[in-house]
Amino acid sequence: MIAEEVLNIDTESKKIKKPNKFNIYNDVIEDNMSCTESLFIANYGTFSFFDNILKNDTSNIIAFCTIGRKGHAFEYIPSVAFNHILSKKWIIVNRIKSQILNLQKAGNIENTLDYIFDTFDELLIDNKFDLVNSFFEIIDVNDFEINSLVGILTITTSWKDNLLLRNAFYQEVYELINSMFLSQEANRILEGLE
Amino acid sequence: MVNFDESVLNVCDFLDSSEIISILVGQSGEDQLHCGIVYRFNGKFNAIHLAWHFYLAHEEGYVKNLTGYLFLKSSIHEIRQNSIAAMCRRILKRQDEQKIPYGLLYTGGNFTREGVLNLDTQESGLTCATFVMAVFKSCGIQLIDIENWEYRETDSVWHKSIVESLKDTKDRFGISELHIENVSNEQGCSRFRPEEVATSSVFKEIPADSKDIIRFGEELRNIVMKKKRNIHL
Repeated sequence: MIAEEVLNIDTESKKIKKPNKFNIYNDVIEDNMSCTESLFIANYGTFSFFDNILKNDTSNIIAFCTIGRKGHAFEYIPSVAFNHILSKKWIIVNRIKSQILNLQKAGNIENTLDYIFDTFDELLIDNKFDLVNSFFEIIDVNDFEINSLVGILTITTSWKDNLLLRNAFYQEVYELINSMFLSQEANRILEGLE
Repeated sequence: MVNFDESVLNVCDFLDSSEIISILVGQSGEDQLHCGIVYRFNGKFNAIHLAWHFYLAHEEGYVKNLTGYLFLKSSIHEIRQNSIAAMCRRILKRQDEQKIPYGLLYTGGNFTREGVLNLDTQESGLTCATFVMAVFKSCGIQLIDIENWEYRETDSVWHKSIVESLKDTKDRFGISELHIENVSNEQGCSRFRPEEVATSSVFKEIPADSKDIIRFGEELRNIVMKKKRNIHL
């Protein structure tokens, strides 16, 4: 469970306050096992300290650093906690999620759907089912617009036998859409995508 | 039951509508209809249709010229229509990876798996009508219940004419002898006509009853045949 590995707080780490530093190796943060409060990863080198906030709520701020930052030490950002090694897979999946959210924010359904269709189709053609499953695992459907969720279900529908977590994702989308639309309309939106 | 009059739009009415996608149908030969998909992108309507063997046509902003064509107002939800439009754009982006062959037998091929077009082992290619069915199927929508679609005697006449046309155009379109032989062996299968595939998208329940699709298909054909021929290959 990648997301849990990343986001769960190690109770042992909480007990021992370590210096507020960590390093990035091999494109990922590796030396963060002892952190109780820290920051994290981003991918675009033009930004100064961290490059892109992927998640920001009361308990977590998660961001990216670039390959160019490998080996650099950073100051922690307070009130943020995580304690496991971030995998490259997790970074890729979060990058996809981040990009979809950014495109949604820009308000262009067509561009958002084109990104979803291109990205997922290419992952699936390359048999990178674990990445798509990880995406299903980490995302909160409430962060996404219905058009995006239906687009993801559409482009993955022919691959559902390879995607173990797609059914759970479908159920979450089903519940969300049924909470927003009358039953008949919800069925029209989702028919054939299970 | 569907209100057929309200579901068939001419080009002006269609351009004024809020539709995101539509199946268009028009006359392309003396007794031949043709169909494709129109989708909205960047405020314009583009058309995608399988014109012939290895010939997937894409008409950008072309719809206003299609005065001889009719547009079917689909019952499919707007949110699903957005995804169908995205699928059309995705197929266009991949068309260099694999050209779409022309063939008669359709048993449910679609566009998502294996990179480009995933045909059943028995299928040699698609027609303009089964191309539309394959795009919708790739989006989880089965327009016609293919299991219960019956063969009609007139189908064989059309099959024969297609095989002859493949032979006649083999040099121009690079059609191999093997492909022509494979398509020839498909003769005798059930035919999904352009007007029937177009009609299938307007029913409240999709797939609709085959008899209803055929009946409305005939009505649509009569309307289209009265219009002026507009597209040439």
